Amino acid sequence: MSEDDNASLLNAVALKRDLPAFEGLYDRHRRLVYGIACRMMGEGHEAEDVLQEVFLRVWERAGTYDATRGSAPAWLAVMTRSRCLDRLRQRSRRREQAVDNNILENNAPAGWVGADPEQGRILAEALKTLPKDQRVAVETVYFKGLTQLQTAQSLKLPLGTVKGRLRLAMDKLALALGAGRVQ
Amino acid sequence: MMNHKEIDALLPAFVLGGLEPHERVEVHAHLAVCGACEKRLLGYRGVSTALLFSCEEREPRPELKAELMRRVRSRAQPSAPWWRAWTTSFGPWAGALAACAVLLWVWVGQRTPRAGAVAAKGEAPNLRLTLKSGRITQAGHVLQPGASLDWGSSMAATGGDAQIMVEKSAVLLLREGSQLGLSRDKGVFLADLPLGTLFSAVVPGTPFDVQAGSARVDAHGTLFLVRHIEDQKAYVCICRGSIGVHAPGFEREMTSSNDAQESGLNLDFSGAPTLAEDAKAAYYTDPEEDALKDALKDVMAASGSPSGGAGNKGGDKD
Repeated sequence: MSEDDNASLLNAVALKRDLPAFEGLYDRHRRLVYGIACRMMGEGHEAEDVLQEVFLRVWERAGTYDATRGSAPAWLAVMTRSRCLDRLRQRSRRREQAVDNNILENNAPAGWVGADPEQGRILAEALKTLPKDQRVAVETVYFKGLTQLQTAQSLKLPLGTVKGRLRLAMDKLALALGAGRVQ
Repeated sequence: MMNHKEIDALLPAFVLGGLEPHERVEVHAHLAVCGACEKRLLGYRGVSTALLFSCEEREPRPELKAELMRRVRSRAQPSAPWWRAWTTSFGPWAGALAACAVLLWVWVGQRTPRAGAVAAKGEAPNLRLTLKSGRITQAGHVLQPGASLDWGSSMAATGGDAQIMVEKSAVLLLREGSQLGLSRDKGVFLADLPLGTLFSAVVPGTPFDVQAGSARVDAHGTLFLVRHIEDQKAYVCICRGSIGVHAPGFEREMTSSNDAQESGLNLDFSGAPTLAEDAKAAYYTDPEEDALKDALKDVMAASGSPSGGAGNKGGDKD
């Protein structure tokens, strides 16, 4: 599938309310969305709810997709994480977190430009090469929506240790993607 | 105030969403002035999104597709005119919206008690609002005084000193010197505020959230500082961009910067002034309807007070 095809389908949904095009988008990306939802929410009804929520949003807001800001799968992926974090926040009542997530999602030039499934595969490989403690730190913060302080408490580690692990992990992952560290 | 080194140490967690609120405040503030950290952040953020693609893909149950398509088909019915959709969607909020319109009336110094009184009932067929200053921006064109703008049969407007006519419960939110954005679909309304605008200064002591109660307020390409959070209200300083407000009833979703484009609305910040350090805005509150109603009573009372609007143009700076 090409990114042009994705854009065409999204256009058809946005402009013509084209159900077959919407169905095509679902068929293409359901596994990605559901995979992220399962990763963050665990398998079950909540992940299924997120899947439906994300695609309903696609139906309503396909016109908001801007190809210059990133790929359609990236758009869907970020949207999925955002929906998951909403639900995780509802669980933990961390409402104030909403502010920052909005910023991350909506200041999208920094948020998702350039990310695509291929980079995801590169990163998945890079994640495997990380020491387990670093990988766990990243995954706990990113997928469970915990702060680094909460992560430290959860993992029963000093905060400084968590910070250090996050820094080391992010530097390696950025390097794997070719971004590297800005000196 | 943290120094560069301390902020630098927070960037990985910042990108991953793992900072405490006060730390985020510090990082946002620092990013506004530090190009090096901003660049590093860009590198990290590529990681952030790519992490999502590292998740193993999973196959959902086939029944979910049928359920989704059923729900989508039910939404695929022809839609009502935008203003009707607004009023329907905002049903419980009609009073709030009308109240805001009244506030605006007061705000721009062209109060018409009769119009306000009708609006308070949520049944006003028309409200005539007059812009005394500022600009109207739509579809990338900044309208100067005297220029005309057609928003369709339900709304007509001209820029600058001319008039805006609003049917039903459309909300206009603007301040002297601000720009105004108003979308025609899905009930989204945007208030585009330049740097340093005091969002909370509608009525002294009345937080911004009275505009839409449980609405979520989102950033649109915005850089802003959260000055502090108190009682579930965040006080922010707008540094760049705009803030969009989403009322409830439409998918409970956030507005992205693209929504502005979707609604044929481009926002122009070229004339934005420099950051006003003491600017602040309250933009988040607990979505309790009863609390909203109480707040609205205050707003309505204040809007009927000579001291409630035009006299507050300077805002309540710290």
